[in-house]
Amino acid sequence: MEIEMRSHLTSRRWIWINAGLLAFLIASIAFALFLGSEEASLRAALSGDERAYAIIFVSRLPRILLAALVGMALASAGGAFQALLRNQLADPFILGVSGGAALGAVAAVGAGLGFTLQSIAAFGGAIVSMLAIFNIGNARRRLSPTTLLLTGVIFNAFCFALILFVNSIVTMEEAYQILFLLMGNIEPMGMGTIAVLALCVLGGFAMLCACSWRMNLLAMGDADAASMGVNVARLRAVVFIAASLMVGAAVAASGLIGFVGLAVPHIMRLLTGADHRLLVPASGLAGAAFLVLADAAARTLLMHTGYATELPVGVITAMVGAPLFMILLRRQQKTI
Amino acid sequence: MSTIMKSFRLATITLLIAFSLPVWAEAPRRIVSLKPSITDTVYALGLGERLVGVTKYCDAPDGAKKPEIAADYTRPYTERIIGLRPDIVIGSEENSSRRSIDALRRAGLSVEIFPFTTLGETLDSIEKISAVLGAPERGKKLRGEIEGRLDALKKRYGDKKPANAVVVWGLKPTILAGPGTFMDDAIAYIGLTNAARGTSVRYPKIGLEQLIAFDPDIIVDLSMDIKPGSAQERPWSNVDSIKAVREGRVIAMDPGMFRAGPRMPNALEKLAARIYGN
Repeated sequence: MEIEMRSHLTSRRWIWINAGLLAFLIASIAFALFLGSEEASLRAALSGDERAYAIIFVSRLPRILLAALVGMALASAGGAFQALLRNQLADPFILGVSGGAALGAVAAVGAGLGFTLQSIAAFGGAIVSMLAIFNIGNARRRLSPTTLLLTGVIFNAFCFALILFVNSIVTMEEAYQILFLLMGNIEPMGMGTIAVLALCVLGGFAMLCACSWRMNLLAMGDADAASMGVNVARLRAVVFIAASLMVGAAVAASGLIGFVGLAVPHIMRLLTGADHRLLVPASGLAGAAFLVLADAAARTLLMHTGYATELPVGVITAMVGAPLFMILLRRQQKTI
Repeated sequence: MSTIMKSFRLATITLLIAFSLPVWAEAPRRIVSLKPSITDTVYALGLGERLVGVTKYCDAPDGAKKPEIAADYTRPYTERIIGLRPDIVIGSEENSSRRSIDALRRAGLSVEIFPFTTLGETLDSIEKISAVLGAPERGKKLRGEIEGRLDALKKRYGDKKPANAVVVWGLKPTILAGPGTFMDDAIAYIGLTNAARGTSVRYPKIGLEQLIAFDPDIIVDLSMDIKPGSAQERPWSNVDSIKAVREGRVIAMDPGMFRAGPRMPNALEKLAARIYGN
């Protein structure tokens, strides 16, 4: 299986696909920059029109960058989890990492803390939940993916109970903040905050990409991977920490946005094959572009209708992602 | 000598005019409101034609031109607001999302935030809003009018036999107006005591059991899903051990009337008329 994968992936193919996805991501960002509820031209913004400048560079661009970073974090972390646990269902949500991160962020909201501390709390929540789930799932020193997923599901339920508990004791205003966190919400943020997020996400992304060839070996089973010289325990620890860092920062910034972490890596696997050296970076880039486009739709689709409202971005990600996933899956089944 | 004095006086007057001009010119011409009661206040101050953006839930008086929708209940649409080029954005501590407010400020807009939690805060905020809009005397007058009408209500209904009431803001779960809220303050003017005053939070979510324990004489039902003509099931329906239910003193009214703002006296007059008859 490994030989087959290697024969498919040449460095030229790796470069072409990733360069293509990067170009697509840049095109999506540029497209989203032109799309909005208000008329504002880039030229006017750059030639000193204050209104156009504020619309594009204070409101639109930070939001787009936020969507790109969150999409990249969720999709590449999802791809890594799927590899690590050898389970198609693994994603930050189902594993309970998002739930743990959300609990951390919600507790910080309840304590009246600001964004940086919320992120740290979310990261802490993600790491603690990852460790807890991993230790329980790994109880007999043999990692059973099914046990792990089941633990994740239960852990999630526990986290959500605590979140709802916090939600019932905070003030009305904080309850709204928590509701937005649970719905998934992308709002413009300051460039300083975005820089912190970028540091977490791009750092984690680089770590996952660096580990990606070892993930291929892990796909053959722990024992086989170990026999080929992979320090399995260390690899797991590194990937879990990197992924938790990304997911924690993403949840603190935008709350729980569903579907990206599960569906994007699957869609990319169907399009580019299962080699993680390609799959991990490709998922990250595609996830970023997907969330940028989904958020552009969420903020503009209903703005000029009688509803005059923005949609939660999770509505778009699931409404577009689910059918796309089905179509690709069906096509793959037909060719087999 | 006198020429020097004259020119000095002239210079002083010129300077005074020069310094007061920007203040006068700065009175905001384009206003965005992020809360229905702020919108009501701006209209009541007679400055409604300056509103360029309001929330989805704001309404304009009959005949007035409707401004653009620029926010929902808690979330301002930053891009649209910037696009409206407002001179000022007025929000509330209760409704306005912090992150979006920060984004508006980063965009160079002037954003003013006022509290509306209690009736006292609401009256202060009305006055402060009129000041930032460059019409402080109108604000004082409006506040005086509201307070005058509230005092008249107190005179008329203050010596009625005191009754316990609960104000229901929401169903599933049942949410009441608790202590330290503007409804808790407001119903006192028509001789009602808030039966939920002893709870520890502003908007307690309660169960039927607690409602039975409060045993209110009157239930003021402001829960949002009132559809005229439809007899909707309420948790207290048929619970005769609650005095208000037993005596048929459940009064359903439109929550939009009871905003923390200039509409309050009007709403209270209507509520009092429903309770005591005319």
